[in-house]
Amino acid sequence: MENVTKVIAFCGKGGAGKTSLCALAIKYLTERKKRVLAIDADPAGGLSWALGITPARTLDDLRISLHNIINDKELRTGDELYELANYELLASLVEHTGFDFLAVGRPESEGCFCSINGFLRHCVGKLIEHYEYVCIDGEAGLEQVNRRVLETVTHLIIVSDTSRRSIDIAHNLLLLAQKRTQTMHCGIIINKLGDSNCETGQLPVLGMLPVSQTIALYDTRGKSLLQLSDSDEYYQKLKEVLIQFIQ
Amino acid sequence: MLHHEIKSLLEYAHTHDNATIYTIKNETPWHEVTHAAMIFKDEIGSQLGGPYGSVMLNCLYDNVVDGRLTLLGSEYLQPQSVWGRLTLVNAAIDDEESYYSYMQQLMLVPVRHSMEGVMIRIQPSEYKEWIRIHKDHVKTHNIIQFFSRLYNWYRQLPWIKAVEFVGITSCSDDIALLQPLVEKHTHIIKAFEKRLNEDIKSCNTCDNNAVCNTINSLFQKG
Repeated sequence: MENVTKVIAFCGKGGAGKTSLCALAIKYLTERKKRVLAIDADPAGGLSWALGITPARTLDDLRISLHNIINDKELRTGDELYELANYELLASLVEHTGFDFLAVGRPESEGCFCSINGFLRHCVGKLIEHYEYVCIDGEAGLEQVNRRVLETVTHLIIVSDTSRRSIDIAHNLLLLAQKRTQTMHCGIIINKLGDSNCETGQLPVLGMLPVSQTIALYDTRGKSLLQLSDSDEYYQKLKEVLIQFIQ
Repeated sequence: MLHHEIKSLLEYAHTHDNATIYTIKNETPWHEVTHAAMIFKDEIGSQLGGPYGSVMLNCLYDNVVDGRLTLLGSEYLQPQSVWGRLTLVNAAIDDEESYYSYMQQLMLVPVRHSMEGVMIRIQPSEYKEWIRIHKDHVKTHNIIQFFSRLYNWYRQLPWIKAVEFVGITSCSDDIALLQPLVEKHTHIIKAFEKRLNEDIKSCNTCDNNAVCNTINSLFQKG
């Protein structure tokens, strides 16, 4: 069966607004009745805040749990481990109205978990195939691209504010992504555009979004961005970008 | 194995107010498909069990009535039910070394096949089963057809001579009936493993001595 899932990852310098954009992309896709999996890959867990979700378990909790079960020799075969992981993955999903949510969590345990991580990545990869869209809110980004966490990504949205440093990081991320794969669609959103001009050179800019006082207010009050009005100007502009980029 | 406990459970189940006994051999089984379904929250018509309340256990048993289902609870699919399933199997197993392999085959049967509009997840180390049935299939299917399909799958295993089920959708108190079986079964499995994998110098001082004696006596009986 052909995999038609579009995996959209948001990355960029911290504070550029990738979490808000990711949350609003999820809002947009669920409003269009698409089957969406939201993945909060930032250990700080910002996306869950932006969506008003409190995950009971994270992928890291699952990793520790699997490690303990294997350590206690409660499983004897690979088949059993695979079924256990599938079961626990489903149990770790927050099934929200219109989308499912999975938090990666914060890897706090010491030691190397390469084989479990690889196995879990495989299981998440199989889970992803059931969705039309997957939206990933990443860490700042460079590390993840290097570690091949983003290897299943079909659409990479690099978010930058107007600062020179942020745009340089965006440029580096773009080069890394293009080096990794020729098939991934990559683009940059310049966020929090003020009155001054922003020099982007040859970067593939998908759109420029203004500073949004409404989003800042939602952020301050800890209010879910899913409640943002459909007529909000910022949201309308983002939708235009998304329609162009991911359709 | 667990003969005494299973016998007591069956006796209890057969006299339970909420029990109905079916012969599922002649029932039309749930339609089989080749691809496993993913059933999302908004598609659920019925959910049986889940992380916080289900037991699924397979046991070998001598006095299996082939194709019998003792169901505690409704045959109709409710939006949400507790879920307990005891599968009793009469099997031609010659050697104890293969015991775990056979038990594992039993465990994996529901996830190695697929029913239309049904998603099954199992948690092998905790004997849990979590079933979601798509809303399009709830009104046209019942739990008897589900067990009938399971029966057909189990009977495809060449070493199985007879299969019987106890199904529980009634309440968590009834699910708890299976718990002692689970605990004893876990103990037996661990004892088997210890016997097979460890060099025990003295059986008399081993923690699992009583269980091993039971296993030995069962195999001596043939």
